[in-house]
Amino acid sequence: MNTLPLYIGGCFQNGADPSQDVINPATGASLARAARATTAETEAAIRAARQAFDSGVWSGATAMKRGQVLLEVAHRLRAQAAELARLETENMGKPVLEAEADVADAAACFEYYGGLATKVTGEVNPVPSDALSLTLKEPVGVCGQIIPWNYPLLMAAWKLAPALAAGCTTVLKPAEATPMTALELARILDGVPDLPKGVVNIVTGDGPTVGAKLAASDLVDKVAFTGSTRTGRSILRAAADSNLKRVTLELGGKSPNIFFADAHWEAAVEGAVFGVFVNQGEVCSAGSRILVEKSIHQRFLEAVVEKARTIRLGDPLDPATRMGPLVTAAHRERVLSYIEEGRREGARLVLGGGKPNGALARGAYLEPTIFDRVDPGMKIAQEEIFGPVVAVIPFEGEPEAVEIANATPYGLAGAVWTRDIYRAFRVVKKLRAGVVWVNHMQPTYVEAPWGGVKMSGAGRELGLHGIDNYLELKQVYVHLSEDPIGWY
Amino acid sequence: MTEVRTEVGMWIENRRVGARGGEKMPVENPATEETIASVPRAQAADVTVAVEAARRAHPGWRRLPGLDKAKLLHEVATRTRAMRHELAELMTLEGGKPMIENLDEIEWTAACFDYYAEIGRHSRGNAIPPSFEHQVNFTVKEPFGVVVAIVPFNYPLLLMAWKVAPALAAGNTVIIKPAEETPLATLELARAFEILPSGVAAIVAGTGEEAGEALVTHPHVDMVAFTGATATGKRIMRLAADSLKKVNLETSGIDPFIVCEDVDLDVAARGAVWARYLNAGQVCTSAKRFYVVDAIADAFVDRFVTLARAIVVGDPRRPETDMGPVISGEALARLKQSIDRATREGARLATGGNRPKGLDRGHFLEPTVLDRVRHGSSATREEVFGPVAAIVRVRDVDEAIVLANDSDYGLGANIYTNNLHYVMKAMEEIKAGTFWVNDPLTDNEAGPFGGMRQSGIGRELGEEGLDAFREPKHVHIDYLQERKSYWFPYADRAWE
Repeated sequence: MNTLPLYIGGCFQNGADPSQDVINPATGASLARAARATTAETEAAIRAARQAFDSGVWSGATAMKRGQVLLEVAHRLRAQAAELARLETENMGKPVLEAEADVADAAACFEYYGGLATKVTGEVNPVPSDALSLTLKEPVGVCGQIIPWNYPLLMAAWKLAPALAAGCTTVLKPAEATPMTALELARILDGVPDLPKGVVNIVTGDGPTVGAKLAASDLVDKVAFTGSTRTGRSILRAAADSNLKRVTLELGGKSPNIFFADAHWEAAVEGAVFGVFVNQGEVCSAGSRILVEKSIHQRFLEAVVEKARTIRLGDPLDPATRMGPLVTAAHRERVLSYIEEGRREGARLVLGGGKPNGALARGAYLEPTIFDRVDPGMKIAQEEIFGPVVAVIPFEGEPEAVEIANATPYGLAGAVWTRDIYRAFRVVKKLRAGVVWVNHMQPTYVEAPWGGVKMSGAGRELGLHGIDNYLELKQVYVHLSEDPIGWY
Repeated sequence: MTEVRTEVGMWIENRRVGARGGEKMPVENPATEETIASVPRAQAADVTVAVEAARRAHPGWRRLPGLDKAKLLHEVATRTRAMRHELAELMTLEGGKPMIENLDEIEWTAACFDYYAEIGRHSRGNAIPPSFEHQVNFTVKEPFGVVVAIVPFNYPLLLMAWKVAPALAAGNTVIIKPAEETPLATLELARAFEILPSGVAAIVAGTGEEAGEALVTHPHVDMVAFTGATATGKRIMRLAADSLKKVNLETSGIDPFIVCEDVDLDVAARGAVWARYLNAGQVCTSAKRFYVVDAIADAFVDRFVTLARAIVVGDPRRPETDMGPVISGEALARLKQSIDRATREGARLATGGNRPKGLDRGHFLEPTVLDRVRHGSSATREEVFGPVAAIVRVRDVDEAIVLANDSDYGLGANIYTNNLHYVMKAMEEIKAGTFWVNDPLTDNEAGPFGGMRQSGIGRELGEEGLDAFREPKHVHIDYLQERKSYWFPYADRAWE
């Protein structure tokens, strides 16, 4: 059995407790054993990052050099894209076509921040002419970066690339279930000659041990987290209780996908299906509530169900597959409990709802599931399920659509489908969300900011704003006269 | 008639002065054709006095703290608002624009001074990443020096403010040359500039050939900001080229206005009529070419003609007047030639074309509609600066977009439609500095304004409008005292 190491201070080392079984969710087969890092091992990683930062070996490297390192990482990711995609699919279960797109996106993220490294500009402030005032931007320091299992490699890129571009050092914690590509990324980083040891440390393990240590350590200057709202809240608390470290959070969602009667029919039907079932619905921005205008409700529902029936479940390594298994059997049980809850609350189950039989019975598969006539207050319309389950909610008129759309504690994303420019922008302006799509759902670009309002998070990743999470401002005042103040 | 002080001086070194040689020029009321005032007609020697004063004032003004500059610019805004009735009266008399539009213009003028009072002290430059850790690099943005603002007759105060407010906020000193037809309100506004240090802002009246050329060619003028016709803009750029003076030009436009089949016809026709006949059609961004989709063309033209006929033309000082005269007899003659040429080229005169009944004096023209204009004919190729609409009928929005974009100009463009895809396609494909969807001709001082193609160079308004009046200086500091490896002797460096 392949045992996965920890990557600390530029060395691959075996963990003290290599007991985490890494499973292929499509087959149930064991892929490897990963380390459950101990508190002491986590502390060692933090110290390595601290030492690397304090030495200035990375923050003092020129921006050009840091940018070149990131471009080299991107180059190496692309060179072994097929292998990484396969590894991602084996570990996480997503269709290999999606995994290939993820690897390309991860490379693009390193390229974008590689280019941005040399464009981090501060300001010259317009103070009176007897002084010169500069605002300089400096790396925030040692970062703890905690990522989820739904896009393992891509989330690592979203975290590492801006932090490294800014001159920070980091300890990255992959999700327990999906460490494979993160450790492959560690090998790639280890092979890049100009990336000093200790700048990136990768530590596998569980949240209560590794994640909690990163959030509570006084040696960590900043934590960036993507995951559940519950965990996000405990990280914020730990930051408040320790050294007031900076925190950015990208959390859950219950994003509305809103369809008006005048939308382009075929595009809308496919958009409804894609919006929630891509990546098995294990997407923070999943369009898990389909809000549809009453006048087209029945016809639209039928078309969406028919389209969803064509989703090909199967071996995720098969390029024809459009939906793989859920990430783990335990996660499938959580999703099934929501389906049970939906039935109990009286929503009408119109598609799926169970585990597929036959060849797929070994894996953690779940059928694409559609509930109709969902009341906006039901649990399946309020809580994040994080699986292939969608709640269809009919509405009458634009004000009601907006009211339902905004009536959850979340505010990550939303989409509106219409051909009417007045309506499109009215709804866009009224949605309380960090990302809003018009006539599409899910396209995400590294060049544009990403994140949520309300309980979907704090701060934004990606784009020009994304690097600000890893920078502090220093205001410099230079007095332009040598005369004494003359105060005393 | 309203009393106008018949002798109004220029404003140089914070004093009222005449031309040194005593030259004068008359100012006409275009609604009555009466001479209402006489103003100095500056010559090269007068220009030199103003330029040298501006040059002397520049170092002090530039160094004045941003907060103090802001206070003064806010005060200019406050004084402008306090003078709104006198100023509007003067603008109405000299320019023929309806009083209500002039009152609006004064508010926008004051708002522009308030806006630049604030953003002028908002930024000074950027700290940029150095090549090596032991260096500090930054840029500071500096004023050019002495700036000349050459302003047209149609919005004498507003287009002055778009130049003067950012130029002063950036630390330049300025010389304003109002249009020869409309110097009175600008000269009156000198009372708002009294609070500025001497030489910081001057107003020089005169003609383009005399005062204008003397300013543009003066060796101590650093930059020229101009709004007016493309031909004049080209002449200024040629003259400025000799000494590489910086220029910012906002010139002619023949803005297209697309009307799609899905619009509310009443709203679209009302919007279109306002976009064409506002200020008697004498706006650089007036909608001048209407591309109307066949399916609704008859209905749209009917409404457009009905609304055009309902426009109240007359004395611009009367509150019910929608439209006054055009600026001059010469302008009126040119418009009549344009209408004749268009009909000879096959357009149908749907309404207008004549002097309105009951208005025997003044440069008045009926709101005029040319229907079935052929795209490519003169009415779609030459800027018609007056109340004459050219309507071109098109098959569909795709043809409209192609024809709208087929122009030497690119100032503004309009589309009326509910359809999101039409809007996005038109927005992507049409070259224009401003693109209006379902709301023609509105400005926002926080957004850039200017033209693509032969409609101009550079932008006014917004942060772009501040940067138009300053240039960056890159400062490089190395705090490591060391002999650089790349200096002489090269013998120490192996060839790579």
